[in-house]
Amino acid sequence: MNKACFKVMIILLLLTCASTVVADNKDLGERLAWSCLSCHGNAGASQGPATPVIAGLSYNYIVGVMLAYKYTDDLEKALDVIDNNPDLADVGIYERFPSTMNNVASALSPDEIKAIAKYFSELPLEKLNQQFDEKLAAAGKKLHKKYCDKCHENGGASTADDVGMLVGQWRNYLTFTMQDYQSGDRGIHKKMNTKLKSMLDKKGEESITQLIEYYSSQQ
Amino acid sequence: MLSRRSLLKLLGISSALPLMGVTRLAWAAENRIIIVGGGAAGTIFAKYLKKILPAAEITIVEKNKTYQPAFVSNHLINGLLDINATQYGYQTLQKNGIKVIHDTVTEIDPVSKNIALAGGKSLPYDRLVLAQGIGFDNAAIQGFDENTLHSWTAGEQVQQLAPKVAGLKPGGVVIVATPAGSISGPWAPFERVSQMAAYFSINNKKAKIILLNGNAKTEDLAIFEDYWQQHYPGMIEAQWQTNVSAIAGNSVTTSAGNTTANLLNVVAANRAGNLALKAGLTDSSGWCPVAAGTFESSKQKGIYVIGDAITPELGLSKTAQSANAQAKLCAIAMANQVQGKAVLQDLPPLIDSEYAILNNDYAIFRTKVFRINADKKLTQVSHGKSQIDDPEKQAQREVLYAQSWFNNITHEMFE
Ligand SMILES: Cc1cc2nc3c(=O)[nH]c(=O)nc-3n(C[C@H](O)[C@H](O)[C@H](O)COP(=O)(O)OP(=O)(O)OC[C@H]3O[C@@H](n4cnc5c(N)ncnc54)[C@H](O)[C@@H]3O)c2cc1C
Ligand code: HEC
Ligand code: HEC
Repeated sequence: MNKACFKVMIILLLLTCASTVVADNKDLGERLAWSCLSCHGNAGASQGPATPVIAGLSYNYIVGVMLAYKYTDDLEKALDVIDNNPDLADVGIYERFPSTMNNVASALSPDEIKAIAKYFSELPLEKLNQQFDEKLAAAGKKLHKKYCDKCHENGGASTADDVGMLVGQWRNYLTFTMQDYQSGDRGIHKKMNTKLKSMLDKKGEESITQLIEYYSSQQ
Repeated sequence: MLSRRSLLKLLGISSALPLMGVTRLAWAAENRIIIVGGGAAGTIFAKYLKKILPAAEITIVEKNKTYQPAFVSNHLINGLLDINATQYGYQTLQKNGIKVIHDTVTEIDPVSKNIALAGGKSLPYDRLVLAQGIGFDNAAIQGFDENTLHSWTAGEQVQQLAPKVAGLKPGGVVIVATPAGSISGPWAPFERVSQMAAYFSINNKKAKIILLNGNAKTEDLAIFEDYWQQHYPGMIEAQWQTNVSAIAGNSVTTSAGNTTANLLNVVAANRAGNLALKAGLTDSSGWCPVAAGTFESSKQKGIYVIGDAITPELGLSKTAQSANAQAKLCAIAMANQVQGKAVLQDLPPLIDSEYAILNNDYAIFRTKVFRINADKKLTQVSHGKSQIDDPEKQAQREVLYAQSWFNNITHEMFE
């Protein structure tokens, strides 16, 4: 083998190595994500009854939620991360009610959070078999169309536009979340708040139950 | 022009096999991995190593055909869980290419790299993962043996406590005695007493529970005592730093003398199992020292220890959640080594956490998260826990989060 040929070979070998480095980045997201599964279920599809399904949430949504958990004591820091990462320009930061997620997210760097978010956002949304009341669900369907569908499209089955997950999510988690929105324990999108308030004014507390029945009915 | 095909020829490799495949096959032929114990740590290690290295030859040796986790025993007492729904088989692991042998490992020979099975066979290994959980220091309590009702290890004993509690005569007395030192399920003694009290408060209002606990009271435990005083005044008597030295019939001996009850639930000091002791894997503490991250034994090369049997010196608690996380780190580190990567590359956080369900509407959690730092040391990077003055809704939610954890971790192990 002549010298030139040998050089080409080295380059080819390096190219093979380079492609495994890229593969390793994907590995990193998956391996970090393994640490979530004992609580969130195989492939992020929680078996319930309350810890949320996280497979199929959108990338920006997961990044935003994880940064909010991580910097719970000072959300300004979460905003700093967004400012320093142009690719995160569309990520929203909303305060969360305290949970063990604060400890989990604190242990991860923003880059690690991105790798994990990529991994879970690419997993399929799983359907859940939850019991529901048909009458309440029918009422919820109408409410959803009027007050929520503009952002939570497709009857709440879409996770696009970084709005979290309503269909395919455990009803207990949705109940807790709506409690937190009403009590102010979770930060809320401004326009969503206007819609929610107007719904509660006109239709009362039971509108929340009806909506949750509706989301649980879509299987 | 040099194509990829001719490059492979130059390297003397048949182009019919992808490059990775060759190293994996060669590796599989000389790397038989045996896991002793198919519990919280063993199943998870096998599952994830197989995911990274599909060609690896992985065998679990587990003495029981079904896994009955120790961590459900308390939840059977007041009907939070049903015993029929909490027994797990190894079929899915087998379907995914992991060999499962149901037999008891009686000896590990680290020199010849063989294990002996009670069934008479002996199996050679290249790497051994010890994941057999705890053993008891029987000698610490005169009269303690395998027939003592402890309900503290995976298997048959898990389901034996709840019916005894239900069968207690009206106004009867139960003694729950748990040892000093590091134990499996650090909060389990207090969760157990809480579940018994919840049951008695409805079904046997005059019953009494005496808790004899070998360790001193720590700050965490104030939440339990506070809850007991509020909800079951006079039902529970807790004695701290009290060790049982002997049991006979229905009475226990402590430094304060003899106490008699209608039901005894006594747990002897925990340590690594006899198998680990005999193989020279333990230090003077009775637990197995290991390297952080890889979990390779500091005593014997080629042997890894994960789960309850490891030394408490690393700061990890003896919980199924910790065992699960350790198993993942160990599997990734081992695969890294095989694949020629930096051994501690791509390790996820080690999330060590524990729930205790005090009643159907009240649970608490504590979490510590560790990472391997640049010095290859396991370092705690964050922590949190329930507080006595948390809003009511938080303690209520933790019940459902604890149950979710249980459903998800068992599903992760066996599905
Ligand atoms: C009452 C109680 C409540 C608990 N509650 C919680 C909780 O809420 N949360 C939590 O995270 N943890 C809890 N724990 C702790 C948890 O049960 C253990 O930390 C966990 O099971 C340890 O996992 P392991 O894999 O090391 O051992 P195990 O899960 O016990 O698995 C060991 C396996 O090895 C097998 N084995 C043993 N010896 C041999 C042999 N010689 N040959 C073949 N097989 C063998 C056993 O049959 C068993 O299946 C609790 C523990 C107790 C006792
Ligand atoms: C010890 C258990 C535990 C572990 C481990 C854990 N989580 Fe969670 N997670 C929870 C619980 C409980 C909730 C619900 C409470 C809340 O909303 O904060 C939650 C909520 C979440 C949510 C919010 C979902 C939504 O729709 O807004 C996300 C996202 C999430 N977790 C991601 C993760 C990721 C990523 C990991 C791994 C790095 C992880 N979790 C590890 C218990 C856990
Ligand atoms: C103007 C747009 C908008 C409208 C209208 C709206 N939402 Fe939202 N919603 C959002 C956004 C954005 C988020 C994500 C906020 C975040 O990142 O925490 C969200 C999040 C949620 C979540 C949390 C999801 C999760 O995974 O935790 C729930 C539940 C929810 N909305 C319910 C509703 C309901 C019910 C209505 C109708 C009454 C509604 N929303 C109307 C924009 C909207």
